[in-house]
Amino acid sequence: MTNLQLTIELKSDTTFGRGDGVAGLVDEEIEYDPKTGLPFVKGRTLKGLLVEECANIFYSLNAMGGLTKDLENAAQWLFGSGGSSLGDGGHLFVGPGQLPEDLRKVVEAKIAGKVADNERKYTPSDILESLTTIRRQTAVNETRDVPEDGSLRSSRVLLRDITLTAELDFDQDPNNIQLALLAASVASVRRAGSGRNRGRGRVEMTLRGDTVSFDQRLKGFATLVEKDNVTTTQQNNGEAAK
Amino acid sequence: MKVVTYRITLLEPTLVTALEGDPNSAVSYNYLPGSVLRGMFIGFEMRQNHGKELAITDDDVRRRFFSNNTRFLNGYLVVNNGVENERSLPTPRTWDKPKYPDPKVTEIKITDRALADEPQDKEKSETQQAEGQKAAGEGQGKTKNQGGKFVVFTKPGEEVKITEPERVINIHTMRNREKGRSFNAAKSGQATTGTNTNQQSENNGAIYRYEALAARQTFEARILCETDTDAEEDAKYFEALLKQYPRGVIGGARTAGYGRVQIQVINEEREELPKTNRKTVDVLDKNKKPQQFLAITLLSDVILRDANGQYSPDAETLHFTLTKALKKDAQEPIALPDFARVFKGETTIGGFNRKWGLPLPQVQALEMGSVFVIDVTNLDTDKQKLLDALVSLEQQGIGERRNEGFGRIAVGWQQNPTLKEFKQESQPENSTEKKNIAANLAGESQKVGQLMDNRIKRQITDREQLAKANELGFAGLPPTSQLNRLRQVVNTALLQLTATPNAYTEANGNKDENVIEKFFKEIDGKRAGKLFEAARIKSQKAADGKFKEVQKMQDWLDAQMKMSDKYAALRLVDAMLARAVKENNNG
Repeated sequence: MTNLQLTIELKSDTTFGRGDGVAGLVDEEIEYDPKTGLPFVKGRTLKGLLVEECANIFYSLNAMGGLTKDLENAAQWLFGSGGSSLGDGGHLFVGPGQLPEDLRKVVEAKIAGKVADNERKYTPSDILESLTTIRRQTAVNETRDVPEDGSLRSSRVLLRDITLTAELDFDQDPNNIQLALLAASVASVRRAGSGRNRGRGRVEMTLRGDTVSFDQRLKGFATLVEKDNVTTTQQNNGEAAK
Repeated sequence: MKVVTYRITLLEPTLVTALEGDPNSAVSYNYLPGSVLRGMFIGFEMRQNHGKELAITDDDVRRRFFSNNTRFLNGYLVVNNGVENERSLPTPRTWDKPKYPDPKVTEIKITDRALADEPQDKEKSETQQAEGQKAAGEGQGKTKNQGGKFVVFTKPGEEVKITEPERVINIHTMRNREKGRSFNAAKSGQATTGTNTNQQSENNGAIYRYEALAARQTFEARILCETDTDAEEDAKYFEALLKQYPRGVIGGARTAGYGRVQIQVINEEREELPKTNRKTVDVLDKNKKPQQFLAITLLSDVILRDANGQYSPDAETLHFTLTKALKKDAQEPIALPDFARVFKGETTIGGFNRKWGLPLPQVQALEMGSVFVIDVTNLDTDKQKLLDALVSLEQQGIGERRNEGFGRIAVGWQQNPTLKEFKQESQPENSTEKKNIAANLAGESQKVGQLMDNRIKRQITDREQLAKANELGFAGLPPTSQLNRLRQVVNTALLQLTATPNAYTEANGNKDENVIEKFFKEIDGKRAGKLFEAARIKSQKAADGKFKEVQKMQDWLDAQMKMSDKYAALRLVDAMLARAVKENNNG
């Protein structure tokens, strides 16, 4: 069964929010494993990013008159639709985006106390703080040009230049159109997490483990769209001529 | 009967939702229900047939998935019993252990209320209780019930290990399905296509929480294939299915971050409970007269209907069901005595049918871990005959939805009024691991490991230097503006040091001159220089609060900058200056 890896390279510091904070320390905490302190990004977050970009691609294609039934079916096959019955589920299962497995195993061993004599043990807090930092921002009053009262917020960020990897599983083998659409959605993701319009969250995603290279998949999608666009344009011209 | 045993390791948090929690949350069971596992196997069968629905008219399909002859038992947590990993079972609700155990006591005693001797009379029991509490110390007479957890025997009949699965709570935000983010169509004035209703649109952005089983835990489940002629074929079919699909997805939110599992078939044939070693237990009544009790423990939730066909989770209905079951197969009817003691819990069973796309009707059931005790002292018929007849019901189960793991019972499994709790000994530390995280890695992982090591080292240094700075005293400090001027220089040097490896030396013109020395050269002979001349730093604080050493600030700074670790030196200087500024402001 097809199994791909989604790599997420952080080009700028990113906050994959947990939804809450730690009182007195940080207002927006990131998602991390409490046992090891290692940050990760939830599969739901990644799936949401892919679905959003797919929707954006469809919007653009629709505006150009190039959105075909094949692509819509491919999206339905990959991501499913709302509901809990058999027919609603997608066939793509997105795992969490995590640090490399060998690194995780070493960290787990360190946390479990497997250290040399006289060596300091690691705690989850040490690990978390070694990969993140806390950024503070405040709103500025536009008329008075001073910080707004009560607007100081702190959020934890995952440092840039870190690469996370997520497993993408399929319960049936995808076809070329589905993989092409997936590749296009992956390539379209530019920003993730909170504070995207404030410099945070710039990411670059790729697919690995495919039978063809990521670039070839993207070319395949471009060809698909061009072909459909040409066909649609020809049809439109044909109708106009009539 | 053939038994297929398999283990399920959770690769991700798994959400097998129970009927609890508020509308904006989903709370998982602390085991894997048989109904969920049955659904997983049906999914495998459908995948094998390229997504086609099951052929309900096929005899094999009906026997394997839609009859009580094939029973998918619940997946319970795998626990190490000191020798090997074993499938745990639900703890009886009658087990209590001290809530605040005496730390001096090495053995923690568990009392089984189902088999405890009856108190002799009320007055005596109250006196004994009061004396017991006085002897044990305040608060130590209180007990904590162990129901709802899971147990393995580390020493059969004597010592147990009680545990429960780990859970994880995740918070999520409701989002628009198409856009992949929260979006309120009504507010934005845009229409949405697809199945998103106005209600869902309004709830976009709502916070909800999932309490799921944590990843990296292993559960063990069984499939009991009972049909006389086809049991072996069915067992082989399920084993082949598991070997073909070693990974599956179960539970809710499965397409995004929940529910992925790894499955492994266990080749040994294992029963749910050992066949032998079931017996009645001698218990003293209030007059110290010996009685013989037989305990029936529910190993899963049990759904029962009474004589009128109503769902009824009570002792009478259980008695009625057992009596009916005993009469059914017996050549001579065996009378079942009434229950002498009942310790039951009730629960509501629901579920979801993905074929219908609808929830299942909710029914009341007896909760797993409930215990019903029969007094067999005065039984006319052979007690062993009754025991054997009841034990034979263990295999079949009782009640409804037995094919989904409901209705499992154990007879005569509880045999000791007291047990010991297993105490885990602390593992000796392994001293062979290399230091640092990066030392054990290669490639991209090593790069990240190096980053982590550097930052951890830096954070430790920051804390240590801050602690050292807090031990210093001051006298004759220059004005705050001059201290901050020096601090600015130090912070710039720190930024250069942490930016790139060569930034610091390049900024200093590649000379081996430290920034502090450079600063003092610049202010030498000027007013600022004279202000720093009078400044003193006191160090080596004694127990009486007096300082042993007093130095000129410049001398102290020179000494620190001679440290081989430039970062540590600058951090200490920065921390010292910050304290000095504070001292000035307070003074």
